[in-house]
Amino acid sequence: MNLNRAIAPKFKLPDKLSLPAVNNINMQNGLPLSVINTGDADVLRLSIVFNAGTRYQAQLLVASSTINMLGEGTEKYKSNEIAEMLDFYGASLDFDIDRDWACITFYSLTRHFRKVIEIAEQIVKYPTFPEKELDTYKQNQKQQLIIEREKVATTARETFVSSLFGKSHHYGTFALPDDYDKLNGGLLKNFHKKYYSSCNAFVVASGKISENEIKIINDFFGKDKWGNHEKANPEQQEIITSPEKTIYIPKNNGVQSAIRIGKVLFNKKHKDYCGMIFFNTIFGGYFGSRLMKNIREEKGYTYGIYSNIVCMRDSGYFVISAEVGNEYVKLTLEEIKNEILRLQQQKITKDELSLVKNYITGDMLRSIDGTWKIADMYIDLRQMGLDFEYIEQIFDEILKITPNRILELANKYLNINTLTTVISGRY
Amino acid sequence: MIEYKKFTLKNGLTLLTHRDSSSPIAVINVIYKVGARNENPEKTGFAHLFEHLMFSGSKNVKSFDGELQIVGGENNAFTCNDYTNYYITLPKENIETALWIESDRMLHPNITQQNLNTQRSVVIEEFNQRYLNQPYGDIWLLLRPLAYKIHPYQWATIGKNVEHIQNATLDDVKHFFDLHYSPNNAIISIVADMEHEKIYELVEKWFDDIPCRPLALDNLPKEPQQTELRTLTVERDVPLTYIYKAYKMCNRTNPDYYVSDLLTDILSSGKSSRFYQNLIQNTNLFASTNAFISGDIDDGLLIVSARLLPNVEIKTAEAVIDKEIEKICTTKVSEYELEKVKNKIESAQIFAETSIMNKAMILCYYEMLGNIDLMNTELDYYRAINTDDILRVSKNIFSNERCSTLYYKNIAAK
Repeated sequence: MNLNRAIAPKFKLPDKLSLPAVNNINMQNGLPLSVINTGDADVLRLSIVFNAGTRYQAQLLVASSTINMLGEGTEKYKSNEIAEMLDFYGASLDFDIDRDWACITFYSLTRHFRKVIEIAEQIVKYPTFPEKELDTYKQNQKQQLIIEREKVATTARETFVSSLFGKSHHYGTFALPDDYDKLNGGLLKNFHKKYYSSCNAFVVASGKISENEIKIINDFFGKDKWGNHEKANPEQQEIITSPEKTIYIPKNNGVQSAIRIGKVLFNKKHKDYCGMIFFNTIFGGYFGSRLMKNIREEKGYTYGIYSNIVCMRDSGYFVISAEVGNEYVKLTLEEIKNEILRLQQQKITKDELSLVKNYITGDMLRSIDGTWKIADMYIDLRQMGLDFEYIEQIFDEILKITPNRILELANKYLNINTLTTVISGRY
Repeated sequence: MIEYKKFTLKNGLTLLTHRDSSSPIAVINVIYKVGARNENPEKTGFAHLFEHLMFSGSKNVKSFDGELQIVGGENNAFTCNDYTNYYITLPKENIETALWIESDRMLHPNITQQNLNTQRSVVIEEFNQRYLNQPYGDIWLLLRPLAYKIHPYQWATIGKNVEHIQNATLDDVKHFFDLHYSPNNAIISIVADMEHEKIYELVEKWFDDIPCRPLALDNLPKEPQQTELRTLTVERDVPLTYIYKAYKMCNRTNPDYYVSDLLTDILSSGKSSRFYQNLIQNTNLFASTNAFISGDIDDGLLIVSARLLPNVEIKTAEAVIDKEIEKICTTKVSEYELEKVKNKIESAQIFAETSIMNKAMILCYYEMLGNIDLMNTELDYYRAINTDDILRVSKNIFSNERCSTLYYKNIAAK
């Protein structure tokens, strides 16, 4: 056979993304339900997303403890009964909380869905936050947080985010282990009462879903209004970035230090978001990025170095993160700076431009591969008031990006003097 | 249920194909039947170090990542004690690019001194990041040599120590490649929306001319039966004390493997499990508890672990754990309890098969075990287990004479 291995096989990339249809239903009580019917396995998941993130809490840890305690006892079932039933039906429950949103997801086999949603209704609408379970939760979470805070990556991340937004901003606060001691059932009950309601949420169902499952969802969550009748009002707070540009948190006993560098940026709704996603990918957003190539693959200073754009409801930030050998901290900082300057001074080549375009195209395909990933992406968009159309726009915009645009963005947003650097460890 | 077709090339390479029409993405998964178990005890960490070197390009593919990225692909790999697994995801139209680069690195990877120097350094940083600079990161580095005295499971995939990685020479790694990275020691699985025969043609095109080589003999020393309780106590600057009890159990193909799996699920899977209900909720001693099996191909470990709350005496905590273990060794579990963990296994399997990546890995893994159909019939083994089996296997496993206990104390612990 005449096989010439020196020549790469031909390839092509799609010029369109094929996204599944979303069936948007307004249930009787006004609660929006989005149904994404995908996959052929007899499974489904139901996610209920509330405006109930940590920004709404008056006291640290109240929002996360509220969601995490929902399954620990309801008016009808005790904690162990809920656990027994969910386990017996092979169902599972996921709680997810960030600064802005709290999301409960139930995974179920289609054949047990009716039984599972009956428990789901109890968990969402009628939790009791019993003291005994709460005590166990507080105790174990506190210990977990103590362990987390031993890690240089944790201290670096917390200090970094606090210094970007300000220690009292709802995007910049972090709990300490002792904050668990200040929690009680009453606080959680009040938080639940105020924020877990049909007028403060949206529902996304995905998997194998027929009219029958839609009816079941409607029966349990869509008929009468439930909970508080007031929609949460996200307060706008002023961001006060610390003037201190380099912060060092000494920790003497480790062999590595954690580095975080970045600044306040913006979220998906900003006109430069798509361009910055492109910039970020080149710079540190994938395995072949400038940072990875230089600092891991050429120099071997680290196991991994990445940059990222983190989005919140009302803001966002850019961050470079790595854990490096203590002896490489200074050299790594120097190389990060060099890589930023390089992108500000030299246009990227056509080859690198098309490579990154293709990589992002593939990455977008991967992000919609599989039922659960599609649902996650939809939730992410929906939280910002967007839908799949936005992804199609981003896809088109990515294909049009030019080297000049990257140069412009690197100079507009990555001025070295505007970046905050945090190092936790020893150097 | 995963439907598949199996093909064998004349050089011994095994191909498994599965069609999934729901995804625009294809997965190409490659297992080499080599892991840390195949390493020289004086040169550990090699399988993993070699995995890193496999990304340094090959004769015709200068940049492995670059060629994949340009066609919208991505790849990664992991090494475990029993095997090394490489995977690629890319738009299904570009499957041939994946085959081009996988076959080129199977034929002639670019193993140079410079690449070795860099990857040695990267792996040492990985060692630092994951094992040394994390609270509790070195638990397995301590537990393995305690539980195994002869068998190579006594070291972790990262290696026994940083020095073994530092001392790796170019000849060592080349030799490792020659011994283990031949087509007759590899299995490829491809999950894509494409005809089985079409995939086979493409794989044959790119892999058929790779010569097979004699394989290294896989006659590993069998770990002798443990006859005494082994303990190790270490003190570390960590917030809480950990107890790890590692019991010897059977190998992966023994029918009791499934019983052991259900046994650990009864003890600790989910919030309705015995450990959660009886140890976490009803005593004030534990911050977390767990029971799991190591899942190794050769005789493995069943591990019971617990993280103690501050100021809890180790003796007190261990006595409570032992009591819970004694219960399962002396009293039959209920039919309901057994049914529950079986349902969970079934559900987990259905959920796992919703991902094309999982399906590709499952195909290769079960073929490596020597019986690919097991992936579709294993559930029957689980379903057939009765409460007597659980009692019998519990009695068999939970004996102090076959236990290795690690007391990982925080410095202030009593």
